[in-house]
Amino acid sequence: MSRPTDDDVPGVVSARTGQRWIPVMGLEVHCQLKTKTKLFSHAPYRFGAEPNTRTTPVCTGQPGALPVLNEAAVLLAVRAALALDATVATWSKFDRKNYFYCDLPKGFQITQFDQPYCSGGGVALPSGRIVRLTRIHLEEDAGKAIHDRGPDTLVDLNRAGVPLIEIVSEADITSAQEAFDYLTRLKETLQFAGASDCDMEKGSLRCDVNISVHRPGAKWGTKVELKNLNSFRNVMAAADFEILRQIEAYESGDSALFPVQETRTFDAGSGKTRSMRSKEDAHDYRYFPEPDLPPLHLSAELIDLQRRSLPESAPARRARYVGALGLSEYDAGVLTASPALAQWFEETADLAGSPKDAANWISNEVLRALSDPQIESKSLEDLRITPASLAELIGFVRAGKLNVPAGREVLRAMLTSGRHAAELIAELGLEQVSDEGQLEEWCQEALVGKDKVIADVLAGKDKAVGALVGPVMKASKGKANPQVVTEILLRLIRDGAPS
Amino acid sequence: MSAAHGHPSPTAPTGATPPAAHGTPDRAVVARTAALARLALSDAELDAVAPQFARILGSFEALRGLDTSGVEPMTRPIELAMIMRQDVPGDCLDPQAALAPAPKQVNGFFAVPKTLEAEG
Amino acid sequence: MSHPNPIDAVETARAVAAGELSAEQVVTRALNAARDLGGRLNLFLSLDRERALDRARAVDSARAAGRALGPLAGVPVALKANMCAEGFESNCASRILAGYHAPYTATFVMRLLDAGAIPIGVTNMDEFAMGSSGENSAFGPAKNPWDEARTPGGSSSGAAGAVAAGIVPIALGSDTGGSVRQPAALCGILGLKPTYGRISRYGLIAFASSLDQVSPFARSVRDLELLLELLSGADPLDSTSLPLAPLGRSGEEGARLDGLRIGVPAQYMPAGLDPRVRTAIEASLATFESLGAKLVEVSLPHTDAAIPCYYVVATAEASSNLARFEGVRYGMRELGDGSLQGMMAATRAAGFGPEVKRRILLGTYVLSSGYYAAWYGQALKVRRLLRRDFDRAFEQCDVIAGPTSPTPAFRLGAKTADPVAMYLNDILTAPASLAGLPALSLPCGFAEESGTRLPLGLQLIAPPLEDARVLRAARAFESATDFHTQHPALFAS
Repeated sequence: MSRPTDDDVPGVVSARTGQRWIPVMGLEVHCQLKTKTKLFSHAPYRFGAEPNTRTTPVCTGQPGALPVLNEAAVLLAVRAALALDATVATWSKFDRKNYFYCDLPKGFQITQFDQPYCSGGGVALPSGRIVRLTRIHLEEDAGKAIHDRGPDTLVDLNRAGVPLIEIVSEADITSAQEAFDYLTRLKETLQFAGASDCDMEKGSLRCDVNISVHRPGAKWGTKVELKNLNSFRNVMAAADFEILRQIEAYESGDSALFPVQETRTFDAGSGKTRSMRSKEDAHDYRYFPEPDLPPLHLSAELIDLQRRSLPESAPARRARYVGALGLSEYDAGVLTASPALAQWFEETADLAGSPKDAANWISNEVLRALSDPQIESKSLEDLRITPASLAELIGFVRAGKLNVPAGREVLRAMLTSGRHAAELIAELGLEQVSDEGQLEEWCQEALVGKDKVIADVLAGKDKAVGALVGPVMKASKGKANPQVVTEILLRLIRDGAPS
Repeated sequence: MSAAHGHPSPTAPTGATPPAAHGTPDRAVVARTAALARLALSDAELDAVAPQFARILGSFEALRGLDTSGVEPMTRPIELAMIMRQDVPGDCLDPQAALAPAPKQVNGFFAVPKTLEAEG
Repeated sequence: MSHPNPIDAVETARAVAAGELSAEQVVTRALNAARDLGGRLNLFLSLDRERALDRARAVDSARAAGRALGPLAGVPVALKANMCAEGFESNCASRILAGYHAPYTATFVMRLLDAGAIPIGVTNMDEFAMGSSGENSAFGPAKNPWDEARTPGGSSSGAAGAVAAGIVPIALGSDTGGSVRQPAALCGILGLKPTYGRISRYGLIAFASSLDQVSPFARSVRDLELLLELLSGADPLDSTSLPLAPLGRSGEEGARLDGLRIGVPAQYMPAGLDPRVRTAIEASLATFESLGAKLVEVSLPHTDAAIPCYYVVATAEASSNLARFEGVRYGMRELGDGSLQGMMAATRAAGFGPEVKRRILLGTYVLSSGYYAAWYGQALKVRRLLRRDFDRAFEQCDVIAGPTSPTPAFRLGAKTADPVAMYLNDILTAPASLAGLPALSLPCGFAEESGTRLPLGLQLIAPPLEDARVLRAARAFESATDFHTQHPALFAS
């Protein structure tokens, strides 16, 4: 595993000069771990809570308060490492990173500097190439400083102390698209490991990008850091812009314009990066071992236990859905969009006894319902159906009690009312009509005057009968089984002329 | 470009200038240290503290001369195992109590002079 | 018939529980003494009269109703100004925290309150515990009850003075490099720094995290033992607290120390030692011998490096611990140039005193890039060398003995011109702090100076976790001597 050589990288071709430039990118991603409480204090965390309502003396940096490590955060961090194929260290320690800012209550951040809890690992891109990870470490988040609301900067410490893992990639990324893919894959891995929600909108995933460009074979260029990127698309757009900006700067030939080592922010509106006003002097964080915390020991037993209880990864599930459950790759992809959805599907499939039916009903009907404004559910948890109730509906359809269109109608009623299939079928009178005699009667009526259809069918064009299925369905008020109706029509035509 | 972006090895300097003449920090170094520590010393204070600083460090020469090759650093005097806490939410500070000691608060937030920067 | 003015906590608690004294009487007396004598000696920064009396009356009611009382019920106690407790102002004798009322209570204060003790107020100290004389307080120095022109030592200056002056029988201080032992010696009382981690630091405003320990003052060994039992024990809120049960009292009243090997390091009795100190220590060692102990010569070869090591480690940790005082969430705020960083720098410049600034600068310097390895990195290694010295010495002996302070109490202003001169006061106490060892100072004699008797202290140090051992040795010495019964002329009666 290594970064591809310059020859193997498509790179970016300058429109101005036709020269090919090689982008070099590394990503630093901060993910909030999915714990109930913070890393060093028992305060619960919830995005969007009223300011300063989720704090303790520890997370507001009151003098005399001390950190105590959250075990769940450690276990999730270990899971994240295992899901990313990193090597977990038996011994690691915490350090203090000292600097002054209004959202940093202690005047230092507790992080891991030279002995992080794991190292190595990688993320596979769609091409199969692996972007290597340098390291992952545990650290606490800072609070939030709001600059655009009035004459003062406002500080909310709810987020101060939330557990983060910082995932640092090697400079193996060679394009903006790869950065996007890396983030997508990383998010999927961490979500399915149960370690993080990785929701950029809620701030549970943040990404900084380091970018430089160079001519093939030349020394790597000056590295520029991009911050404040708040969506994967913005990461890609910012990278695209920055690569071109750096190319243009180098191609100008004027060394005064060459990229300098700095931090830039991205303005989504204009699509441009701009320099953040430079700080007084370079950072000297004066890292030293955190005296308030003993060293962290992660035993082989603990690591093994986490490895064994690691939830199945997305790629493994997709392979299983295709291989063992007979789904298409496309459907497998749809159903692994999130761990919650995959879980939902698997439960439904299990209860209904038919993965394919479960897949169809979920992909076509349930997912569509989630984006239907009339059904006020925004997520699977909100839905008023459950895998069990959907499985029950599927069962009725498979047993012939309900036809598919009626099934859809029942499902809709289930989603809006929260009631179960059995009572709704009866109430709506949608029970499928299977009485052959009745069906024949309706078919006979439909065949009246349809000589052309009869002639076509007798001539071998079975499909022509399709035109008559609709009227029969109508006559049955939708309760006939369309396949059975088709069969009866064909039989009636072939057995003899209508009376 | 170093492989580990932004994470230099512990001994690599991260921007400060190398040590001045062995062990004797001059006024400029003390001024830079004061800035790092966010202590706005007046010229008079700097004039007073810089020689004291040098004298104090000078008196610590005994420390630097000791041979410590092969000796492990000792961060805390008693070896302890990490204790960990269950992930169970506990009582939070009443926001009024959290904000009560603040020099300035606005609408439930701590208020400070406006800054356009990220971390300083 | 019990003493009309019981002077130790155990006796006070007994008298209250027996109904011989009311808690209200005891606490009222203490509050008045704190106001009058304490005021004259500038020992207290604030008194909490109302709540203390409320608590005292509650004890009396409980007793009258026949309810069970805690082991310190009705006993007045003083806290140090770096201890967080709801309702008290914990300003660390600093302008930067003037008016600060912590929104929570320290674990060790909770344990005191649970035992029925009644904190009457908060005592004066060197600002942020940085000092050896009390002269670094932003609210004026405390004075030694034995001689008002002299310091009581520091940094727990007010606490030591309050016990020595008989205002309260017990007080809590904090010891980082000697800040309880040294004032105990200079004030003629007992002071115990337990093994590091023995008492939880949650709620103790940090100076140096790997050195700080809550440390009690008392006039009797049995009071120290009781306090240690009540305050020690694992605390889930402090990751550096030892995972042990509270250290119970031994119950032994033994006055003999047969078989106890007492090591006397040559480095603690150097040629230039004040002859009055030497005399008192030698006499004390003879007393130990008469109790059956054996004296052994030991060596702690790296002692010279202890002060630099201590000041590098402590100031480094302090520079980080004090970074939170920047005018954002609590304490003082000065706007400076109106920018955020400017506000922080101006606040800290105006709020911290000169010694605190010096130590923050020192600590920042020894951690900064390019200097870390030579200074802080080196100091952490020297720390291990100092600890190894003790480990080797303890192969030859059971406790180490020597003077607590190189001199008796010095005059106010005598050492303020030169910080280094002040730092040297810690030479005998800093090593045990760096090594995390339990160490105790006990009154062992007096020096005459200008017609005034000034107390002298003997320090006993034991291996890690052997707190009971120093207490036992102190107990025996106490029963064989009467230094601990002496009190200054300025004594609350």
